[in-house]
Formats: sequence, C-alpha cells, structure tokens
Amino acid sequence: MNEPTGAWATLRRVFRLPQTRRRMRAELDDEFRFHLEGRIEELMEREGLAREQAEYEARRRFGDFDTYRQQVRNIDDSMLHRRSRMELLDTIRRETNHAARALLRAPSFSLVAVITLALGLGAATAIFTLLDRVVLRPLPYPNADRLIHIGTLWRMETGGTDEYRISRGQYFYFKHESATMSDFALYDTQVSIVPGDGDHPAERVNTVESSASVFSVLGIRPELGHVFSVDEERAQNKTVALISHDYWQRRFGGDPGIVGRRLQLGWGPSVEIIGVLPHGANLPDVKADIWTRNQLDPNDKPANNHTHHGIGVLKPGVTVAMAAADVKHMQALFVAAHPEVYPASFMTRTGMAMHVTSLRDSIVGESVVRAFWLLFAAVAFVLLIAAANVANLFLLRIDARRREVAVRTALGAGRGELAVHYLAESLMLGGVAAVGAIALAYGLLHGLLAIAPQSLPRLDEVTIGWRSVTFCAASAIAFGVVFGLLPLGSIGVDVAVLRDAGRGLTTSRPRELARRALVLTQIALAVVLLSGAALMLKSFSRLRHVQLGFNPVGVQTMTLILPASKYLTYQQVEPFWRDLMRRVEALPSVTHAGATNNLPFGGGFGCTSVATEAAGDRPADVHCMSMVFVTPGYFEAMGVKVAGTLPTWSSVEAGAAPVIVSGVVARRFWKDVSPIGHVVEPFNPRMPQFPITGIAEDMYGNGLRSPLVDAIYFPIVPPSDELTAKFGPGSWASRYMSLVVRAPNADPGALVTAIRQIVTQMDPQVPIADVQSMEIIVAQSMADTSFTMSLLLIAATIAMLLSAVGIYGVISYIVGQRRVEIGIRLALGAQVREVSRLIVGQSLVLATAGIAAGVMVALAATRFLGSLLFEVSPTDPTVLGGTALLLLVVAVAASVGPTRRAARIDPVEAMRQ
Amino acid sequence: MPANEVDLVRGTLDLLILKTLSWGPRHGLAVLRWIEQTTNEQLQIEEGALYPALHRMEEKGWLDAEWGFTERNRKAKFYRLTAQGRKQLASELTRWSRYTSVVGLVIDARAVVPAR
Repeated sequence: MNEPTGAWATLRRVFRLPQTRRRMRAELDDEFRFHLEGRIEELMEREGLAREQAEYEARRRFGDFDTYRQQVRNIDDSMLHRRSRMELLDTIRRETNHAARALLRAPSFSLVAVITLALGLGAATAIFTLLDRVVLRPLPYPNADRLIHIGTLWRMETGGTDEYRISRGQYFYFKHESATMSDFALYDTQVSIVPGDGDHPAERVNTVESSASVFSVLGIRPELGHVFSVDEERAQNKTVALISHDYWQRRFGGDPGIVGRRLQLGWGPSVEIIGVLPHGANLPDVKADIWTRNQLDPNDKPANNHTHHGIGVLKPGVTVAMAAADVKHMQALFVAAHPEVYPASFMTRTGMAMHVTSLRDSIVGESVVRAFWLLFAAVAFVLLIAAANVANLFLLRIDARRREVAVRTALGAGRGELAVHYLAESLMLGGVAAVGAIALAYGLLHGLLAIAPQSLPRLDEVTIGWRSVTFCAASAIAFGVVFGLLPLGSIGVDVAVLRDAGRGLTTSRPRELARRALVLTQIALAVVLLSGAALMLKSFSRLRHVQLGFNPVGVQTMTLILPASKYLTYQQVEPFWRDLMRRVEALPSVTHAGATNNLPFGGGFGCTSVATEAAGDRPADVHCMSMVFVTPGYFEAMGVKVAGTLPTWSSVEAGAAPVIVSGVVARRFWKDVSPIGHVVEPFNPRMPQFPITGIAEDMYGNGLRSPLVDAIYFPIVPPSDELTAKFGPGSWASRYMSLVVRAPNADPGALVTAIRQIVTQMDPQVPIADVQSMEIIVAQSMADTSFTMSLLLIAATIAMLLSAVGIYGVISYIVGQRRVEIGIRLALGAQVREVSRLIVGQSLVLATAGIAAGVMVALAATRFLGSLLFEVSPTDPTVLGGTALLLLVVAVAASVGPTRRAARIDPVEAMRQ
Repeated sequence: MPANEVDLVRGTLDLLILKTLSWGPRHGLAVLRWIEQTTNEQLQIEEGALYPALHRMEEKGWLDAEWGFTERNRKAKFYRLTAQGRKQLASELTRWSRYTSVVGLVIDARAVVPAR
C-alpha cells in the first residue's frame, strides 16, 4: 500500500499551516489516528486479523502512545513559538517599510507634521527636564526622602512673617526629646579668610560650622581621614577641619599626605586638617570649602539666638506632618521650661512658631516649585496645540486617502490590518519627531541654563537623562497611537466612494466638527498662555518701576574683610575705612564712597533689639529692628535721600555718633513728630544712647516683594567699656563691610582695578570679593520673575503662531469645500467684498468661540501665578481684553490668504467640477 | 525478537527518514512502510518514535509538512525534504559512510603481533 512517489503533484492543498496551539494538537491527534487506522486496516487485510487483534497489534508496534504524543507536543510548541516570533518581526519589518514609503510619498505632510510635533515635544522635554531635576528629584543624599528642615516663623512688626532658624538650646532639646527623628544636625554657613602664603593670595572661603552629626545625617563619608567627633564639637577653640575635594585640589594640589597638615583659618590658632570630603559632598544650599565644628556644649544656657540651620532625619514611616506636630509639641515644652529666654511678652509679640518642611521644599522653595510647574503646564499647552495641528493634518490626510481605504476594504483588508497600517505610519512619524525633540531639548536646555537666574537651586544637577528621554518617547508614542487610530472612525463599508469617481473633497460631518473643535481648543489654550505671559510682563514692568529707595545706577559694590590679627579694635579698624574712603573718593571718576555691613537686596536685614526713647504718651520700648552700620559717605554713594544732617568723617572723628532712622521707624515711633533730636539705644548688646540727626528715604532692602525695611543706620563707633569688658576688645568693630562706590561715568572694570590697587597698597592681606554693580544686584532680584516671564512669553508666542497655522488650515479647507458655492455666488453677482466677509466671518466665529472658552479658563488658571505676580491682579481686565483682541487680529490675519484665494475663484471652472 | 531482526542504531533514524523522503513526499506511515519493504522487515522501529523525529526535523527546517489526501482519499500529513534537508542528508550520509568504514577497519583487521 505505498503512496506513489509522484503523489505530491496531485495533492490538493487543504489547510494552511496551523497557527494556534489547539489546532496543532488536534492535527497531531489526526496524524496519529491516521497512522494507527492505516496499520489496523493493513493488518486486517494482509494478515487476516480480527479488528480487535489488529488494534492491539498496531498499538503494540506504535509503542507508548502518550509519551510520544507528549514529546511531539513539546516540539510543536517550540516550533509555534518560533514561527510566531518570526512572523511578528516580519510584520514589523514589512509595516515599517510600508510606513516609510507612505510617508516619503507625502513629503510635505510628513515634514510639517514631524517639525510641528518635534517643536512641541522638544519644548516640553526641556522644561520637563528642569522640573524633574530641580523639583521632582530627591536631593543627592542617601536618606533624601526622610530629611527635614526645621526653622522658626516670626511675625514682623512691618507686617508679614519672616523665617528664622533655630537656637543651640532647641538643637539639644529636639535632638534628645524627639519621638519622630532618628538623628538631628545643626550647621551655620560662614565666610572666612585663609591668609595668603607664598604660593596663594589671601582668599575668602565658604566655611561651615556644623555639629558632628551632620555627616551621618547627610550620609557623607570622608574620602580621606575621618570626620570630627562630639568631643571636638564641644572644644572651646576650633582645632580640626575637613576640607572639600575641590579645595584639596585647588589649594593643596591634591596632596595625598594632606591629613595632619595645618591650615590657618581666619585669625585664630591654626586648625588641623583631619579629612577630605568626597567630590560633590555638599550642604543642601551651599558649596563649602572648609568644614569645622560648631561649638556645641549641652551645658550652655539656652539663648534667644535663632541663627542655625537644623536638619533632621525622620524615623522610618514618619511623615513631615507627624514631625511638625512633634516639633511643635517639643517647642511648647521648651518655651515653658525657659521663661527667661522666651518671656510671655516676647512670645505674644513675635508669635514665634516652628516651621517644619521637607529639606527639598526648604531648598527649592515654594515659588520655584510653582514657577516650574507653571512653565511645565505652559509647554504642555504648547505641545497640545502642536498636536492639534498634527491631528488636523492627519484628518485632512484621511479625506485624501478615502479611496485608498475603500480599495483596501473592498479587497478584504480588515479593521485590524488597517489599524496596524496606520499605527505604523503615525508611530514612525512620532519616533522621528521624538529624536528631533531630544536634540531640540538639548539645545534649549543649554540656552535656558544660560539665562536662568543664579538663585535657582540645583541647576548644576540639570541634564537630560533617561527620565527625560522616557518622557519624550512616551509622549511621542501616545500621540502616535492617537493619530494612528484617528482614521479608524471612518473605516466602514464605504465602497460608495469608489463609485464616486474621485469627485473632489467630500468629508463627513463628524470630521468637520472635530477639525473645528481642535482649532477652537488651540485658540483657547493660546488665550490662557498669552494671558499668563502678559500678566508676567506687566508684573515685571511694575517691578522695574518700583521706587527702590536708593539709586543703583552707576554704583559699584564689593566686600572687604579685615583680618582680626591686625584689625581688632575700633582704633585699628576705623582708620582703615577712613583712609580707604579718602583714597577711593580721590579717584577722578568717583563722586562718593562709603561702606555698610548690609547691602540692599543682600538678604542681610535681620533684626536686633533697639530701644526707642519714650515719645508722647508711649513709654520707652524695645523692638527688634534692622540695625545697619554705615560709614560717612554711604547715603550719598547709595543714593539714599536723607532729610536732616548726614554723618561726616569729621563728625565721626570728633566722637559724635549720629544715627539716621528710616521713614518706617520714624512714622512708627514718633508719628507726626520729627524724630530728629531724639535718641535710640542699642539694647542687645547694650550701648549708650545715639542722637537721631536725620530721616532716610524708605528702601526695599530685602527685595521688592518684602515690606520696606525698618532700618536704623548706626555709625561705626568705639564700643562701650561695658561691651569691651564683656566681649573683649574686638567687639562692636566693623571688620566686614561692603564698599559702595558711586562713579556714574566710570568704566566698571577700570574702577575695580583701581580700587584693588588701592587696597593692595594699603594691606595686601585684605581680600576683596563679591564685586558686583548695584544694578546687577537689583536685576538679579527680579531674575526669577524675568526668567518665568521670558519662558512664558516664548511659549505663548509659539502657541499663538501654531494657532494661527491651525486657523489658516481650517479656513483654507472651508474655502476648498465651498468652492462651488462661492463660484455660484460670484456668478450670480456677489461682490468680492461679500465673499471675503463670508470667509473672514467663519474665522471670526471660530476665534470668538475659542477666545470665550480661553478667557473662562484663564480666569480660573491665572490664579496659580499667585505669588509670581507683582501688583497685578490675576484677572486684570486690560490683560485679558488685550489678549482677546490680539487673538482676534491673529484670526483675521490667518484668514487673509484663504480669503484671497476665495475671491480669485473662477466661477466657470468652479462649477464645472 | 527474532534473531534476524536488527535493532536500530541510535541516531540513524533521522538518516533513514531523510533518505526515504529523498525519493519524494510521504506521510509518516508511508515512510515506515518504505523502510520495512526495503529492509524486508528486518529493521525494528518502535513506530511512535517516528513522529518526534519528523516534527523535530520540521522544526529545524529540514522538512516541510502539508496536509493532503492519499490515494484512498484519506486526509494525511505529508512530509517533503526542503533544500536544507537535502544538504543535511548529504552530510549525514558522509558521516555514516565514514563511521561504517572506520568501524569496518577494526572489524576486518587481522591479528598483528604488536611490536615491542
């Protein structure tokens, strides 16, 4: 019973290869059954066996049926697996090729779509990167998510609250009593001088004085040597220090034998370097060069001196809110236990409260978080607008391809196949756009970092990483899927299109509506963005026109620190400043020179207790006010107007101690009476009375968004005998001052060089730092506003342009649609003007609807600008009105082209179609 | 088992199948019958063992399988050598003849006194 060898030729193909597991199993059973049946028949025919015997014999010859079946099944499974994988790869390859060809066949569509999408994605990716790196990412510490910052909030007499830090007494109390923190550290940042040696000039370094626990709290381990101990923390004098990796390289050339070397720091005894911290080990807010111990003795009495940063590590599972409750509770007990430090009157006046935040929030700050989320929302809007344009392009393409779809459907292509087909196209487009977007984001970030304000935290951590790439790719894929699935709505048995013999552009009503809805959304989003940008612009302009209370134009500043080794007492310090001012004022370009310990916008206006003389029915009282020390010449140099008598060097030499009070102070304590001739008295530390000789113009010393400063300007004078007895001969001496030089017509570079020469001539051991013009200091204080404003403005401009493109597209399309109608109208004698009105009217209807929606959203959304705005209401009517008007103009402008085309329609030709 | 029947040497089943299919497409039972006929039924194969071998070779791409109808109009799965299968057959044949000749050398060798 042989099968003839030529049987293949006569075989009829019945089935394709089985594609499913179940099918394969069934076929295997068929194959085995065929075998056994064949054998049984053969045995019955040839050997004359009975059916039963034949079956038995066939089975015996076959062997263990189940084992063989299982063996074959396993083989089949792996075959199926391999085949389906190969088929998938094959499909991908085929669809990719197909998509690439289809996109290349429509180059203008592809190019416009890719560029539009890449612009939107690129901008979004760049801002996402900023947001991610600065706001979202944990700080670079092992316990980052468990670190908290503890500070204190005080009610200011000028209004508002101010944040201060914590005291040493609180540190010890919290560290030992806390139920929610596992560890607690304290630190202060300072500036010190490392005097010049043979190889290096004297330099100013950033130093930290911290508790020994700061290293375990921040998880910093030294690269060399070891960190200091609690015993070293208590020591009376600084004896040991750790240096940063950078400082080790810079000052010591990476000397491997650095541990054990000594370093002269400031004017005390030298310190021993006991270790080097690894590269990148920093405090959250400051890059410090030298770390020393903060002198912490648990036996010291608590004092009202809240100047230290406190960083705690939460126990596992503890939230910031729980820690805040714990700290509040501890503080209540602490205050109750120390009425001598926190008398009831003090607590009522200041309302001192604890302020606990995650360390990241305290570093990044609420306004930065807000600004970055806002910018991200803005670019997300831009991305949506761009995507709407691309979606519109896809919708147009669907119409153009209806015949193609109909042919494919008629030839038996299923919905699934078509979906794969279109998805391949749109995903490929999205992919290309994503690659372009990453490149664009890279460029944008470079630009952004160049213009970003220096005060923005964590900018050095900003770089495009895999999270940014993932964000970009995920967005591209999401849009790709949406665009790819758009045509599916129109796949049906639409074979009528074939018969329709390509009668131009016909479209379905839903798609028409979709297209208009997209443009309407675009306009609405553009309105929101433009209003936001306009509000920021207005804020910025308001900021720039604020009366600062001084005149920054043509003012150069720099800080000088006099080493205490040579300049300890008033008798040593005062001649230096006097001589310096005399020499600087002798420079031909300089009109005035003075010095102060507190530059405006330097963030230094704190408060110190000052007693004002009794006036009227008010008893003498002690208040915390900003105590500023100035030399003669300061008011003239800074351009602060003063009513009364200005201090002069001769008055200082004569031992007079004239005080100038700010208008805020004058009004608060003397009301309508002139304070001139009255006195003030520094209360802590105690000093004799100072006579008031003038009233200074009020100034926004702490920045334009803070209240006017309640400053009292003291002269530099010798300390009282009581002070000298208590704090030593070096107390009350102004060694750390900012030089303020008014030279309106000078070249800043030459001026600074000349001043440097003067200082070097006087004493080469006095370092100069922070050379900055007052104008730049003021500009930097507005940098966050101007940065947010610039970015919003860019986003809004792009949004507006993209919306214009969207309007243009839709109006062009409408003109194309109504060609015949317009032709008939023109033939019947309609004027070009009427036709134009018809088309522009379409555009205006669309724009008005979009603007109305946009204004509603803007009214709700601009509230989020909140603290970023300055003296502008989020619902400023001129801003919203102006924005609406601008977009109407844009809508009209965008419909000019299509309108002209409509007017040029030849009626005869139009109707022939 | 009768003395004149030969047990199948391990690994030679593939070779037999490939050789059989080189004469034309066949279903499994036909392959078996061909081997029985040409060997005068002296070769004992447990018939079920044929199928793992066939499917494995199909997976490796040496064989193509397709369902068709026999002369008696029954549905059966036919196997056919692919180009790759032919190559495989050639190399298996070479290996087989080398193997038999080497084994033959030992078996046919005369006793020689080893040199000291």
